[in-house]
Amino acid sequence: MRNPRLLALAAGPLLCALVAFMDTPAGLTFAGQRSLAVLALCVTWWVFTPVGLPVTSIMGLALLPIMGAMDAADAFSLFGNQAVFFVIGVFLVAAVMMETGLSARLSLIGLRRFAKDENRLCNGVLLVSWALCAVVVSHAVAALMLPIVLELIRSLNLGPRSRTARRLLLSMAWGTVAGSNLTLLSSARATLSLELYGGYLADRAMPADPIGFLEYSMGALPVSMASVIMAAIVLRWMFPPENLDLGPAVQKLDQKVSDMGRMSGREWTTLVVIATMIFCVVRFGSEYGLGTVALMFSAILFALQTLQWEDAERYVNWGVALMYGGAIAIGSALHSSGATSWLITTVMPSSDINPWVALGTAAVVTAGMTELVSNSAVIAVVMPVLLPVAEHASLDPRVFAWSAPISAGLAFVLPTSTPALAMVFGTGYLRIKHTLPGLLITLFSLLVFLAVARWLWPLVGLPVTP
Amino acid sequence: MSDFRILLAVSTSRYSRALVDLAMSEAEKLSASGTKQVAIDVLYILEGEDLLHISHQVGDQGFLGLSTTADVISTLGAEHHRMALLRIDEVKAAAATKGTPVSVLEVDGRFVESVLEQAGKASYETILITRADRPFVSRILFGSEADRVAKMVKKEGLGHVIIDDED
Repeated sequence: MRNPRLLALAAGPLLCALVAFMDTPAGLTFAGQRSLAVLALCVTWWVFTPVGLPVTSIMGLALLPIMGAMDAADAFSLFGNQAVFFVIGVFLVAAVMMETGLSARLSLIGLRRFAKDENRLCNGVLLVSWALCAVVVSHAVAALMLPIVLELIRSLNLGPRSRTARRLLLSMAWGTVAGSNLTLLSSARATLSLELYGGYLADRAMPADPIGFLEYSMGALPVSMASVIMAAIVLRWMFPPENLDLGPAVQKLDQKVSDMGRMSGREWTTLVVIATMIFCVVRFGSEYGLGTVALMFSAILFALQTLQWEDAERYVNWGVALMYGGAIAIGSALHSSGATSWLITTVMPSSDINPWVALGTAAVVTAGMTELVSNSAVIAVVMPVLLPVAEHASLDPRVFAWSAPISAGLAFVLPTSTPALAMVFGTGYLRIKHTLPGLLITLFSLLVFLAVARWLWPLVGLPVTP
Repeated sequence: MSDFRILLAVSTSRYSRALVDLAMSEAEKLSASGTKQVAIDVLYILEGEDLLHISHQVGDQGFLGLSTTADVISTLGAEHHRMALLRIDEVKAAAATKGTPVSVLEVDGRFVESVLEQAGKASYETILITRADRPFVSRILFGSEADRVAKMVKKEGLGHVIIDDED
């Protein structure tokens, strides 16, 4: 079959049928076997994407009750959990920031401050892209920054072979990739990871252990900072300055800032509502749930007419709710049926595994996968497997709630890894050889991650080993 | 007196700078080899499909809405258009110094089909194309469009294809 899409489309159900109808191995329950069959289909489709990610999720959700892996009522109840609504809130925040022009204003003002020389301008693009991700989901930041960066390139009259043009584009892409590890608003994958961890504890009748917004951010921040610092170093080394006259770029930035005029009432309202939302997520998120707070403030944005429903429809792909809801239901079926525990004890019969080797291997494998597969799909695939691995390797499973989304955010090389890189490759200015040194950032970030896990986390009450 | 004609194909994903020099050196070679006038037809193909996979990544994997996705695609399309027009201007300027006439044809469509269709419409001595940047593995597994053009042109006897690998 020449068409790879059709091949992947056919391989999913075939693998599913193969796992579902083989003899049930000793120690595996019927529901567990059927959950693994659904997982086989979903992994194949999530990885090779013959259909959109949300389509795979709804197929998985439908198959769970049909194949006897889980009751329909249980499967559908998982679909409507807090994490899904928090993710919707994250995308609505991005929508209002873009619609009101607040994110564009912040980035232009930031860039103007850095536009002193080439080095500072490029570092400015890197830092502004990175910092904006603290509040706006990273893919939206990339979409926002792309036209700004291309306008700078045009104003400087640079072509596709210009080192500065390439550095500006990669600064934007790598800034958003590093920034995707900043907070729970930076990407949806961290929320998915926390929810799968929470679901795992509930399925195993272990005490609940909610991880808050600030707690997650404090754990992830050092790695994100390490990534952005290393990105600045690598970019400076790869693309030395061309001694350009930045006058036209400064003029362009000044003109754009001046065209925006003074901050409108709508922008002020957005700023105040989002700042209050972040405060409430930090202060009350654990008590009422992240989804509850996000929904409340989303409703406030609509009530204050800062965001219209039409804007939400234009800026948010609602497939995100289907993707995450389905992934959570599949993860829960795998845990509650004991399928992943059986899988891990079968694949790794010895429990004499060094926890650091397990953590390091998981981080490297996850970071490797994310170069080829969407990072949301990576979390949906690896988290259900990693959580029982943690217990098997005498690791605190809580560690993977951080390590998986952080590692899945270290995608600095291939255009398949993240929309930001796809966008800059799409300009025609960059080749794979230009992004290959991104492996240095991944490697450095992984080392920092392991160092942070080894020495910093125990100080804040998160020992890697229980 | 009929002309020697050169077809220079550029598109929204293929606009190598080296194509300009290649076109001029081929024009010089042809004019030195005979008494006929050499003319260059620049075929500019607006490829919508190339940006489609980026649209999928932004929308389906980045979960950004239709409006944002459309903005990204329009930004990228405009940039490709600008670069392709820059190449066309360069060809025109270089050809003007040699007195070589240049005409520009603009079409919407896929690269292979558009080049073959134009090659079938006129008699071309030489057809100049460049490769789009794709990972080596992808090219090995799924073939190169530039190679497909060369193969089809040879099969149909539509001229001599030169593929520029420099970019």
